[in-house]
Amino acid sequence: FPVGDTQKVLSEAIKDSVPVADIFYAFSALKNLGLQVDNAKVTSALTEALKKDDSPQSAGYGFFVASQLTGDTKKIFDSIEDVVAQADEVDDKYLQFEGGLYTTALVVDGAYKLAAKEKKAPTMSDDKVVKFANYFLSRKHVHQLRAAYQLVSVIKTLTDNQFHIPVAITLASPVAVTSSSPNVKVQVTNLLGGSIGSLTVTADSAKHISSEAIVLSKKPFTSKDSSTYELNFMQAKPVRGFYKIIISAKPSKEDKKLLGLTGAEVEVKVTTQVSIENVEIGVADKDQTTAARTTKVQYPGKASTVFEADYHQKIIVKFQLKDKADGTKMSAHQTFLKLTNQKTNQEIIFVADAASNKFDLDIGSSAGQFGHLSGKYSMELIIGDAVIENPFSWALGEVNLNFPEGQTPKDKGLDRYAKKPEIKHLFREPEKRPAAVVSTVFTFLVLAPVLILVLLWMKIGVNVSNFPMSLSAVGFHLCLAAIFGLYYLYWVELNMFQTVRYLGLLALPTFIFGNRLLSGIASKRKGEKKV
Amino acid sequence: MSKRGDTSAALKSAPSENLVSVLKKFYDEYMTSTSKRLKIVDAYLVYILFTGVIQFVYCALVGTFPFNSFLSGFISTVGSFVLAVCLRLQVNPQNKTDFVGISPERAFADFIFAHVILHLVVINFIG
Repeated sequence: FPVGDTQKVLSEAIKDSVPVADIFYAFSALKNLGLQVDNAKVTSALTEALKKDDSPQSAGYGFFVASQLTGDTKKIFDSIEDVVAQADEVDDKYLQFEGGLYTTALVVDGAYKLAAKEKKAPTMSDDKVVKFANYFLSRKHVHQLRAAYQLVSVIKTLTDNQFHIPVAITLASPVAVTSSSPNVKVQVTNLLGGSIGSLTVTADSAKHISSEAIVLSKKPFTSKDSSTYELNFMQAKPVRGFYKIIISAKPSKEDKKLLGLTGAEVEVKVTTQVSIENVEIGVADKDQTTAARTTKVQYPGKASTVFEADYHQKIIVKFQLKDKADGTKMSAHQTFLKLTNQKTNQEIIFVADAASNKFDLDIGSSAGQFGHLSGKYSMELIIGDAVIENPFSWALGEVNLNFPEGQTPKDKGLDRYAKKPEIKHLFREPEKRPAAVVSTVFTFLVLAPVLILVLLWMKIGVNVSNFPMSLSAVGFHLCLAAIFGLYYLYWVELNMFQTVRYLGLLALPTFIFGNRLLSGIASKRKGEKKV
Repeated sequence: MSKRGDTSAALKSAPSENLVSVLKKFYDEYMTSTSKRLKIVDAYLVYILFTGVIQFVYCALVGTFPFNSFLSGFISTVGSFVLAVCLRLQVNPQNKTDFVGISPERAFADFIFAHVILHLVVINFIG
């Protein structure tokens, strides 16, 4: 591998005014190529660069470089504490730097590598390390490739460094704990899932999440293999529901390095089988609260007679759910009554009243949902819940529903996803205009009075011969004609601004000519009068 | 038309006759005692009146669809009529005492000026 100028280029890249990242890359390249490195120069360049830029990311690069330098890097090592103090705590559980996953992983990884060189634990408190570890474990979905690389690197460092090894306690059995599988299994390992030696694992407490009852305390787990531990949870006879188990572990050999050994939380749910009893089905009138006659049905049988109900009445279904494990009454999240039209297979589902476990089906008011289709419907009761192991759908019987005739069944209900009918846009129809003939006739009619005017003027004897052939007269009349010509242009194509401008231009000569003409006429008239 | 009133005052003293003879008398008086100038202006007034009436009849017949056009035409006739009446008033020598300092030429100049403005507005509105 010809080295050539590489040594020169890389060494010269490390100077006093260069950013930390550049120093890191040049230095690592030199080290990887096995080339000569001027340690003193690198140290001074690094210290300068770190003084100028104290962001966590640069600090991380600085740690990496320092961990491979020979010489005094104590100052950089001491800065670990300050850099870690810049991290933000989230939710009381996570610790991260503003730069995100890459920066956080870079800093932590670099700190441990430098610590390994200095043979001193990095100045980070235990709970800070645990919070960093929580953060790394929560970022399993990574966006950048370099962040992925750095994440893997830091996790590895956190499993095999000499100072802090965070311990992960994870649930290894299915979340549901039942009487048939009563054991809760946990794995106690380092961050990569490797064994950390033998430990005694104890369940400090198990709390029911909704009722806050404590079910057990200080029960030990039995060790199944080097990292798996087991506890028979059902021995404590827990009530069905969700539980939080708090676990702590103690290594059999005292190991100061292990962190996060107490306060680990694991969530399980205890499920149970449900039995349904005292099922009564009845048909009552709308205003009654209980049915006069009810039919009792036993699970999983079916009612022998077909019920009859019409739209004045309502169907009442009552039942009771019992926890098979301890015989207590229980309620389920999903209690549905499904009626299926036997001819059209249309299903209509109703929800029971959760508190009283009763269905009150008013046929009249829910007629719309049935589409007003009378006929035989089969009834099914559906029971389910997160903690019920044996949810079921039970065919109770059949009912004949009668809706008043004549109601138009609602049309199949426009298929929501089919094409909607096309909307035809009607442009505004233009107003009706009169026939062209009419307009033309009237145009001439309107212009006709001009002829009348001319006639009348001739009859009166208009004095056209007295027209003074002076410039002003001609000019005045021409300008006036021009103004009205301008108006015609305005109508046809000009806009107001142009018209007013031209008008202004024309107004001047018009005024001058007019003034002169009229004053001429006036003086002539006065002259005549005087005479 | 109070200025023609002094001629019709003479008529009132005559014994009451039917409408036709009143009108005839009126017409004769008018023909003789009004100056040529005024008659010219009156002819113009009649012309404007006819034009306006015909426009109105057309609108009544075919509806007001381009209403702005109808309005502009109608207002043109009405405005011209009013301005012509003003001109007639100011030019009539019998009214000289009411319009001191306004010569007939001045009245005519005003008439032209007002017409220029009126027609600008009319053309703007005609659409």
